[in-house]
Amino acid sequence: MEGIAVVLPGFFCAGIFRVMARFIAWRLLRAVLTVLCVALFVAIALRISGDPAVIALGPDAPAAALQAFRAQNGLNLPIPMQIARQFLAMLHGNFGVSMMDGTQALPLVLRHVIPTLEIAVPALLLKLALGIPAGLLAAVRQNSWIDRLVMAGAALGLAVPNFVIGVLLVIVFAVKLGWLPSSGQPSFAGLLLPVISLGLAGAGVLARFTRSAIVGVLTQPHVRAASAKGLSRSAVLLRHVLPNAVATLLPVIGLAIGGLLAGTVVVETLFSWPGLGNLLVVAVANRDVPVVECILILSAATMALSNLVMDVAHAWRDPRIVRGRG
Amino acid sequence: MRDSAPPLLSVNNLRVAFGGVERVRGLTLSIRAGQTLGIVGESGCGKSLSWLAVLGLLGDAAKIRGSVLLDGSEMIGANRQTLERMRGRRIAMVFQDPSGALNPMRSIGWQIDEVLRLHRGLRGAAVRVETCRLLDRVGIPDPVRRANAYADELSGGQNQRVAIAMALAGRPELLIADEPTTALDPTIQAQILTLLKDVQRESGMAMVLISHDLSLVSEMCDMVAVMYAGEIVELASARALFAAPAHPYTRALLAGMPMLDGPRRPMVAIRGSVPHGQDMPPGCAFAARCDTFVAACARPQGMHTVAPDHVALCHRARIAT
Ligand SMILES: Nc1ncnc2c1ncn2[C@@H]1O[C@H](COP(=O)(O)OP(=O)(O)OP(=O)(O)O)[C@@H](O)[C@H]1O
Ligand SMILES: [Mg+2]
Repeated sequence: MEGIAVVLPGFFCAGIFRVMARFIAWRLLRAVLTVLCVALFVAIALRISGDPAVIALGPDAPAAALQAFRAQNGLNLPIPMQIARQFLAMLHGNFGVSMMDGTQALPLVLRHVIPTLEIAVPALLLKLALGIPAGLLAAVRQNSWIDRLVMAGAALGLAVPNFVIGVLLVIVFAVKLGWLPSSGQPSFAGLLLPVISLGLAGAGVLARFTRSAIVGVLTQPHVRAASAKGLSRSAVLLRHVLPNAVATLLPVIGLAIGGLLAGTVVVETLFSWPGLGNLLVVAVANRDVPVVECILILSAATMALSNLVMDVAHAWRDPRIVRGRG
Repeated sequence: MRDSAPPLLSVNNLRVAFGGVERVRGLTLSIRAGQTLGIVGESGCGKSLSWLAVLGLLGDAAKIRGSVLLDGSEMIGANRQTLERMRGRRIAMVFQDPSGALNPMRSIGWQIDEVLRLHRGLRGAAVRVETCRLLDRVGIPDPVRRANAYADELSGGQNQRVAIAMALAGRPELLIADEPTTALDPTIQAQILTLLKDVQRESGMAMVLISHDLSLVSEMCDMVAVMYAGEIVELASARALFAAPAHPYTRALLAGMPMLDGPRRPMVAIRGSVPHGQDMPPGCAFAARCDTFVAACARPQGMHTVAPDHVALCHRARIAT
């Protein structure tokens, strides 16, 4: 046994690489399948929800026009064929033409990604900057008043939808105090309220996860052993507790990153922010099928990609995952 | 044996309680530099707990009283910085569950490196060189490569040796070894014991050896403390203890010990069970299980000197042997 291990060090290292590569390949396949499933689901759902020709031309359109539209858009083919054709087109970036303004759906959607990121990214940073330290503090001072405060705040953030926080913020800061604009201005002041209402709600959830992840690590015997080595309490926390807890937090953070595009719908509507969420609401209201499809698939792809990256990061931090012993 | 030098560590009436139930009920002993003290006793009698309390590792739920003097300075109630400066460097510990004591997400080399940087001031490439030397000394094959392994990639016995290397890395004055050789095969065990003795000879390191293995204790230790239900019932030089045990509990323990060179006999179970908490009798804690019970056993017991360096918590100890 020992002898084999001595003879085969090179093989052993190569083995780890191969295992990691296989792990990544599997996760990649899973991500692609996820997006495909979402796309399929969206395509079927949108087809079931109404005849695209009627939706495009209106209920009063003459039968001849409807027929012509169907022939032109391949809507006479069996549904599986339609979906296959559509997927092929999507692979080439062709999601169809927006029914609202007649331009290609993909560029239209991509133009709205930037404003969404303008509020979603700062909100994500706020979530991380607030949620992780708050959870850490609550975990380290378990059952103290700080812990109770953080957990009460987190419960509130979880129970109260982010638009309620948004409405309250608008009432206080925009209406009563008049300090900040309540809507739609791509300026720093205009960013503040949407970012804060998004970030606060998410921070509560993250604080809860962080706290339970850290409490989980703190009860492991290796933490006591780390103290026995003579490490200071902060060194134990920073070198042994927090990194291990972050490894288990990565999937949660991945969800937050994956939700960057999808999580802003309500807040964008509330603040009339000209982003993806707003576009989605308008597109749904107008039954703009290509735009809706494009947004949903893009959101799903972001989520899948972020999960993939976080899974790989998790495996890199905790090699037991790859070896299947975690 | 008797030495006028002041003890390195002296523990006086140490008590540890959880939720009002005392699990360690007044531990008193002392250790001099270079000495090895064995701690024996049934599972649950407070062996591990006592030494976790000495290192201040028990957390807020434990109520600790009494006194622990390290080179004359008090450690019970000492502030955190004082304890942190002492741990790993002056008193190091090998935990009973060595695999659990290793961080699963760091390589074992990283964890030994950490001690070397902290206590030995090593920097740069010298750190890993010393780590590999330590791993080699505890008998880990191919240490350069194994240093990059994680605890779950090694066997329990290898983790135990890693834990010993890590504890020795800080060159402690006192090593508390809680069942340090349970997961080792006899050859490796002998190698580890030789290593520990070598380190003691080289550096004058004192050692507390907690073990269920009485023949190991008799071989390794200068002094032996027998614990029962949270207190020491007999404390003597190893030779005196094994030759002439004075406490009935010690005798019962030794009765289960295999004869030297003889066939291994199974440990003879002592009838009855250990009292604790509310059931603790006012008199001798062993009385209900003792073969030689008399009325006087129901009264509170005091330590009796059997011989120089030999005390027992039994009123008959004076007249025994
Ligand atoms: N954190 C704790 N809270 C409450 N009780 C505890 C705690 N830790 C230990 N105990 C109790 O204290 C007693 C002594 O435990 P300890 O671990 O010292 O036993 P031990 O002598 O080391 O036994 P073993 O030989 O099995 O290791 C046990 O009854 C145990 O249940
Ligand atoms: Mg123990």
